Amino acid sequence: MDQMREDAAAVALARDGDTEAFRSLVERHSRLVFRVAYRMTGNESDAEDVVQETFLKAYRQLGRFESRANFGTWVYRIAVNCAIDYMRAKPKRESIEDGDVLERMAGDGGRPGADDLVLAGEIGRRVHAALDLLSDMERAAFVMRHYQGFSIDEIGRALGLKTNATKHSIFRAVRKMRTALEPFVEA
Amino acid sequence: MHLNEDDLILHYYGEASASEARVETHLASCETCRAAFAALRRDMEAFDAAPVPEPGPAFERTVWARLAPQLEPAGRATGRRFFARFAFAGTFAAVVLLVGVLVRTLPTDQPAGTAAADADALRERVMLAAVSDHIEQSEVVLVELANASTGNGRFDVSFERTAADDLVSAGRLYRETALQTGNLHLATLLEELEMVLVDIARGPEALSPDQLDAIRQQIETQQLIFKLRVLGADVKARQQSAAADTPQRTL
Repeated sequence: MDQMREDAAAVALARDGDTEAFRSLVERHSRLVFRVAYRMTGNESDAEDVVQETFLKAYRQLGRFESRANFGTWVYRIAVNCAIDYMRAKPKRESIEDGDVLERMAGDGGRPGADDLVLAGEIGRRVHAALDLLSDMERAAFVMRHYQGFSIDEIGRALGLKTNATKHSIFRAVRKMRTALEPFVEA
Repeated sequence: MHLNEDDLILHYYGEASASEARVETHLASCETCRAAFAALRRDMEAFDAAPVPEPGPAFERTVWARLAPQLEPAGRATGRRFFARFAFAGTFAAVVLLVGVLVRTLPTDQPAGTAAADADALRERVMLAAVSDHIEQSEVVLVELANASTGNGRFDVSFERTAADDLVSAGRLYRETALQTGNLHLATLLEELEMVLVDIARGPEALSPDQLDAIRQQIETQQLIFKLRVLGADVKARQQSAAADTPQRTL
């Protein structure tokens, strides 16, 4: 039995109150949900909270899950929305972390040398900082498209945006990311 | 004419669809655009360098241990939540009325202005809690419809229809209170929401693809889901702020 069918069977049981069946869904998908949540929130603790909220919402909405649909796609969509809600509800980090990221990044010594760039995790750290520059919508659309491989239509449906608005969120996100990383990516 | 960055981004993600052949043809013959695409690809690949930490081996068990106590039988959850919400709506109305009556009738040692301010603060907190729940339930209904698939047949919206009907009644109460307390932004959004909910509530129990599209258009045109999320976050922030600011005084 493939995973989609296993998931569908588990959802059917969980709807009837079988919490062990729901547990199997949590165990199969929680790591992937964590990755989405981490991309969205940027830290482990927040991502873990989002994972909890995602599965709680998924459980409460099991009755709305269509048996032919992919549980993984459905739950990732919930995860992205939970992450947006979570980030909006959470007090913004200090303005220096939001507004001055570019300056601080550029101020870390200007254009780094090759040695700096090959340091493990260096660009990754810059990418995380650049993601912080995106609006919640831009970040959600970009994470879903770039890291999770959702189509633009799927992203639009998940975020309640029209196709053009979804595309423009992604375009803006990519432009901001490229601008932020320009000093650190070698030509 | 060269390709712009948007064309190249769509091409990178394989989303250029109708214009894919045009983009391919152009890239094959234009060195400038090939260079621009190579630079884009390099940047996109750099974005992948951000690692995601791998949770420890006990991650799934930890998630479940935190989650399990919060679960109730799934089949009953929806009905219970809706019942709870309307019970809360009734409580909300009663508390708002009670606060108003007490402010007007109870003798108090406090200066009249202070008592009224406390009552306003309490009314604000009650309303915020009620509206927060209302927003969440409304969002569930709208997201379900926005994501619904009819296939080739009709889509059963009997659940959403019943929920929308109930939400309309509760929403009117919140909207009137928002108007009375001078929260015009909230009142306006609740009115926009109400119009869509009324259409859902008065519509058929099973929607044709065209009918479902019409409702989706209405939701999308007004960007209702996005507005609800923004409002929901604002309400939660105001709840926290109100809880911190309100004096812990009993009436």
